[in-house]
Amino acid sequence: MKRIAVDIGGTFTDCFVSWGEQFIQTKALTSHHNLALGFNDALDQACEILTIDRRQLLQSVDSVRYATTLGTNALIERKGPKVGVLITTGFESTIPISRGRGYCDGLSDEQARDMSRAKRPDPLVPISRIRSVKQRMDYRGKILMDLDEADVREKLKQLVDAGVQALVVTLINSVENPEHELRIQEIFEEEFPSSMLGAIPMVLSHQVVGRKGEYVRSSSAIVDAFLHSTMYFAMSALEQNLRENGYTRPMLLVHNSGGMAQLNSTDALKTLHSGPVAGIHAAGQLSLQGDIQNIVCGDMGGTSFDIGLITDGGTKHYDFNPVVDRWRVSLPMVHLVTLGAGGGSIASYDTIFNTVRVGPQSAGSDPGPACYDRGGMNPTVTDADLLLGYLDAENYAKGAIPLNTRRSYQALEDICDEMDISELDAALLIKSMADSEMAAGLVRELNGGGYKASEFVFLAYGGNGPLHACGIADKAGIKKILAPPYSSVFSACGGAGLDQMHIHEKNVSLGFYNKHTRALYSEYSAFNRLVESLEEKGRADLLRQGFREEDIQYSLELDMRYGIQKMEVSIELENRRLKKPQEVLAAIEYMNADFAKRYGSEIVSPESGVWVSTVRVVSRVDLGTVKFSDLRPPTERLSPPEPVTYRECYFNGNSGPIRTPIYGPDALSKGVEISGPAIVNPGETTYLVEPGWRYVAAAQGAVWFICENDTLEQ
Amino acid sequence: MSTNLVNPDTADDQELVDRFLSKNRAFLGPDPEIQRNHHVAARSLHEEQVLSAGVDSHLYAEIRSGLRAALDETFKIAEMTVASPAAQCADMSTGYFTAAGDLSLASTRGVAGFTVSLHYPIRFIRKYFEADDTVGINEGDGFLLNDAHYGGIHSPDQHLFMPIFHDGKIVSWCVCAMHEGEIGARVPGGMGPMIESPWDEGLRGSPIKMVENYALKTDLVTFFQNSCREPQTMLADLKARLAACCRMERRGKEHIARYGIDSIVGFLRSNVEFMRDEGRRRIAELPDGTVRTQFYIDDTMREPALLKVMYCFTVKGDKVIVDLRGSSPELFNRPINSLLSTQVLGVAITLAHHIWPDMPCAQAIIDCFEFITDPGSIADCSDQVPVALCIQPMFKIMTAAELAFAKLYFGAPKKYGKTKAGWFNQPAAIIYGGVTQHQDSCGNMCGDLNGMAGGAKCDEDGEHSIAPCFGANVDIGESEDAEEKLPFIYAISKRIWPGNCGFGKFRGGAAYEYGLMRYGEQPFGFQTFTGGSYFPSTFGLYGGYACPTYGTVRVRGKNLFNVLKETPELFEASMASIMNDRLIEGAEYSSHSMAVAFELYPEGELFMTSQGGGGGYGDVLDRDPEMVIKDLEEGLIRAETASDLYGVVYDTETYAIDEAETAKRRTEILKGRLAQGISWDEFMATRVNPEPPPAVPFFGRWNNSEELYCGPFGKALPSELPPIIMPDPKDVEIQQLKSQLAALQTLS
Repeated sequence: MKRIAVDIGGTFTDCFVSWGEQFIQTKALTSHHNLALGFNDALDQACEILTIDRRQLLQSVDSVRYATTLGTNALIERKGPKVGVLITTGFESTIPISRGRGYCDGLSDEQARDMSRAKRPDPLVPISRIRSVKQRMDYRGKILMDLDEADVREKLKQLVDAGVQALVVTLINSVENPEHELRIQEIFEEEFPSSMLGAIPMVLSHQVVGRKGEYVRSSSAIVDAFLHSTMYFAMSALEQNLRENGYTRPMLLVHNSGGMAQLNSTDALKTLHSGPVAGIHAAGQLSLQGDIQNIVCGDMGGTSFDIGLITDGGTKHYDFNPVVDRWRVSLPMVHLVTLGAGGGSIASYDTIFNTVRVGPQSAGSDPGPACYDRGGMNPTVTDADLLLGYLDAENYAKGAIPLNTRRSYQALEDICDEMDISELDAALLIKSMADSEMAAGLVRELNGGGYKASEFVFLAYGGNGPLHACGIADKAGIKKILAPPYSSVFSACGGAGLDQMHIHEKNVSLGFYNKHTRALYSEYSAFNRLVESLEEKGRADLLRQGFREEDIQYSLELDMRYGIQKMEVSIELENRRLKKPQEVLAAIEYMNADFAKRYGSEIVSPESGVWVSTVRVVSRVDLGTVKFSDLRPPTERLSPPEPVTYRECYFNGNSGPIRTPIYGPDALSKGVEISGPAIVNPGETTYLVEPGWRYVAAAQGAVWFICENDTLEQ
Repeated sequence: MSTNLVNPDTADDQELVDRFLSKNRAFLGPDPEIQRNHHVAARSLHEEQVLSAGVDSHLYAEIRSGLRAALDETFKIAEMTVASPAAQCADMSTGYFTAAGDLSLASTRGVAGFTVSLHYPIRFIRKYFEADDTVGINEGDGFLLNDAHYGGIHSPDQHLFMPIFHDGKIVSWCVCAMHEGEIGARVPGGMGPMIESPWDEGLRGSPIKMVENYALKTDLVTFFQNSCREPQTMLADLKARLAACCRMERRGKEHIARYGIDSIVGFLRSNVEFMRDEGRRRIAELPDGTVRTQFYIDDTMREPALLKVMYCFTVKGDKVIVDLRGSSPELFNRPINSLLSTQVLGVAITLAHHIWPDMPCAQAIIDCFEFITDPGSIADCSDQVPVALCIQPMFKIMTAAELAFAKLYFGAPKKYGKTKAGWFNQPAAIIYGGVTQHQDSCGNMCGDLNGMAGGAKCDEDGEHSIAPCFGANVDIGESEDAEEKLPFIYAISKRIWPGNCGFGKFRGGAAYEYGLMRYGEQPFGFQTFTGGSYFPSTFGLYGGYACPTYGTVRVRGKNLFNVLKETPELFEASMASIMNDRLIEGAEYSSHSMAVAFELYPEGELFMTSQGGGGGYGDVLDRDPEMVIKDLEEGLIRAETASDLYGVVYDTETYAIDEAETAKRRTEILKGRLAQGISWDEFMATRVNPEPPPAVPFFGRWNNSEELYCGPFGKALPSELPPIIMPDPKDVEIQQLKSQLAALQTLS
């Protein structure tokens, strides 16, 4: 398999090249003014290793895949067109009100609960660019009030005159009956033909989201419209760059659903958070290939700690109303929780509980931790790590950022004065609190899904993941940690293994068990027709992209809930067609079991009725994946290499410093076993082996940390 | 309980008598010793042993982190699995308590205030049931509570308590608390104007052992289901609470196994003490002083009235005295009375959410507060009167505390929250009841209540309909989801309307109106129970305007779906247009206060109401003219407000501001204000009346009177108040009609 996958982040462009049996990872600075430059730079580094030129490489690969934070950054920076909205009369304030709680979306719990500073983010669509149209559908799609076409023409004119550069139409219950949204599009085409220069793109809400919920559907359509042109131009430039360098196949974009598609089959909304999602996909592949049943992913960077779950040998979890930047949207996105905890998280004295608190404020990368010596005055987790001896002040980030220990000491003064403790004690506290917060986040995710932390492997990656992995795992009760191969470009690595995939879903209200009639669902033909129509949409998407019909695989998922409850669980219906009551009962039984596992047997309530609220078809073509080596801890162990040096390090639970060996890149040789405390610093990542943990290097640069009192080794 | 003896000879006699009395109680009613004490309990022997050996605040921080994760986990379980519409919108909370019942830790999300008032029932359960052989407290037990006289807020809220045992002893309690809504009251949803006695409030769950061995007792569950309009919701929510409590209990035990029982007991207690001590320290930081304010509840829910609520906050050293004396007498047959515990709760919630937002929400943070009241008043009512709408006076003390502390912090060197004007503070929701299109019986409310507007801040405008004054990050919900379940359509869905915000240098957030049109032929109806139609609900700060008034309106007698279909040009989705234009021939248009009793509505009739805005901050003449014009363009204010109130002169077509003319007009307005000024003596002589005007049904202290005015029933000293029994408005109306008839007959 020859393939290129790229993750374009805010700072770095990560590149992973699969070249037969050889895997290459490279990094380059992201070039925001022209993404192609950073991409070419990263690619050229790979070419140097492979001793071929860029054209040769691009002509040889089967695909180039992009995951990008471009859309997320555009949202954060509010870089986008002026979007206008047409909405059903009476609903003009739906978007600015944002379900009330919209002001909390994207904030930490601590920020959210401060009502005295409650403030919504600057809107993507201000009130002045929202117009209502007279029309109304009921909850089943029956027309209660006809579309007032004269009103539509007038409102469209008003918005165009106001200078809107993109339009969103979001009508109530349009997912039940899109007739009026479609008619507005026709009217718009009549009034402002798309063939004209300056044509304005129009997004219809029902085409972006197939689910009910007028606010989340509207915000999804707005985000989509807001990002459309930015993404289109940036991605087109990248595609053009590929063409100029000899690549002739379609460029593929990673989707936050865990699949990917061609540029011309991708909504902008689906590219958000695609990088971290690709990382979770890589974790899924590790799980499958390494026979690791349950993985909890922890990507610890400078400002955040992203958590994802892989269970039962590869199953991913989805959010249906995720938050992107500050906006709650409606789309099936691979479940990802972000905590405000990273190396740059700021520590402060907690006056209420007489201890140290860490985050959610972050020094970020600018000015960064105090020890960066770039003007940061607040103590951070990285400052604590430095003082505790874990970081090499001269060779941090391969020497790119010299660290100033004196700044770290100064930054800690306030905490030390308040608590009357030494700087080293304060640093130990910061490390402990940071690890506790991240551990609590992991445990919350695991327990919330009905899982036990002790049954999971903690996949630790990101710049600070292997540094804090033991501390986090200790607090969470996890006994095994895997720092994966290619961890510095892990998301790009995940992109290389994705399938071409499309998801189509339909909001329904099917009583699989109706408590009033005490009957099971029996309208099999209608159900099967619906599934067929969703498969047809997926098929059309993939055929359009040149795939053969026989290569397309489908899976059918149902979102189910009890009676009048809100919670939905997704189950997969293996046969994809209903023919007999046993299949309906099997779906209900599966749901009961899933509910009991997650929330407890007390909550299982089929007697209140069982409803299917969404039917979803995932259509995919398997394009092969990155084959990892056997990553299990090797049975044949090697003694540690000679330490490069020793440093005095401080650890919680130990009084005084411990003379700690520091190892270089040769400690990554397969089979090397080191007992903690120890530090391995091959250059890009620091692996901290805390007392009570054992380090075992596996294939491809992967590293296991095994708790000394855990007898089980894979 | 000790009792006064006429002539006790010895302590032994006293003990004998006490024992006799305690064994011969006819009714385990609410215990004043418990209900009137919001302070933190004394340390238990175990707590004393652990904490006297030293407080490991860093270990406790780690435990706090883990237990908070458990609370957030269980909150999510309950939120996702409940059926109550309000709880689905996060109107709920989970918490861990000490063995004695003090709240130690509450979930981050939701309405933490629910758990703040639940030390009362835990103490009751321990005091009366623990040693009672017929009840007892065992591992796996769960107690349900919804009667506010034993704790909590009001009867539509239901809470489940579960003890956490270790080595056979209770070491903690966990609670899942939420707004349930339907509870089999006289009206759907458990609250409404028609509730006229405690016996109209539906099921009154004093603490009941509903769970044994981690399972719900089927007979009791059936009884509860059989006694309310939403049996399915009742069952689903009991299960959700139980699942949450079981999970909390399990997590609690896991923490005990990990950290040891002493650490957990020490943590739970020290957390309470940390909060108590920090609250006291923050009060001590403030300069001594007194802030007085008064509010008026302008409707008994059956008739207009001016029910005074007095608030006087005095900071002295590290204590706060909250003096509520002078408030209206309680009303015997109206639901807006509040218990003292509810007033206490209101202060704690406000401090935690608005004044000290970095502090956890717990009763411990106001341990240094003392409350003085007139027992038998609307702010400290007896057990004989209904309290289903106690949230009316409770929300008033919340705003009173919000504004009082804004002023007390005026010169303080360190502020924890941002200074702002009053948040909107009324339960402006439409409660529905009847039969749904899915043939389910129901009686509840949607999340619309949660869209209260924020007050203006000291440096920027307030937020439009954003969150209830009592809880952050609470959902309003989606109208499409509500229409899927209930037989109405949102003819107007949460639409901001002009003028509905407190004006000022920074304006309060604007609030929405909404209108429900009955859809389908099932029997189904609506009610509201909100004040603020005559007297502003919330106030501005430092010259900012109060929240404008608002009302409920109805269009009846016609099926408006025919209008939508056949003559849609006659329908505008705006309360003002509908009521001002009155275009639909044959329809009955009527306007009302915000308290409208429950009635059934046939298909096509329209019921509309509104939320109120947040208070304004600072002088309107200091508002940036550009911000005034932006408000105008966004439909938040009307043209006359921009020109007459804000004094902005602009081109009505282009909205270009004429700065010179604006300055001139503002100067004229200032001069006009000065011209209206009078001296203090003149003010006292001409504007202060010795008695309330006879036409005004005024309740409470007038000026500094010792007596409390009782509307049409005269006045009396607080200790001598008669029961105030309001006449049935229909009887009043009949009497008026009879009088008119008699007069006509005389004429003829």
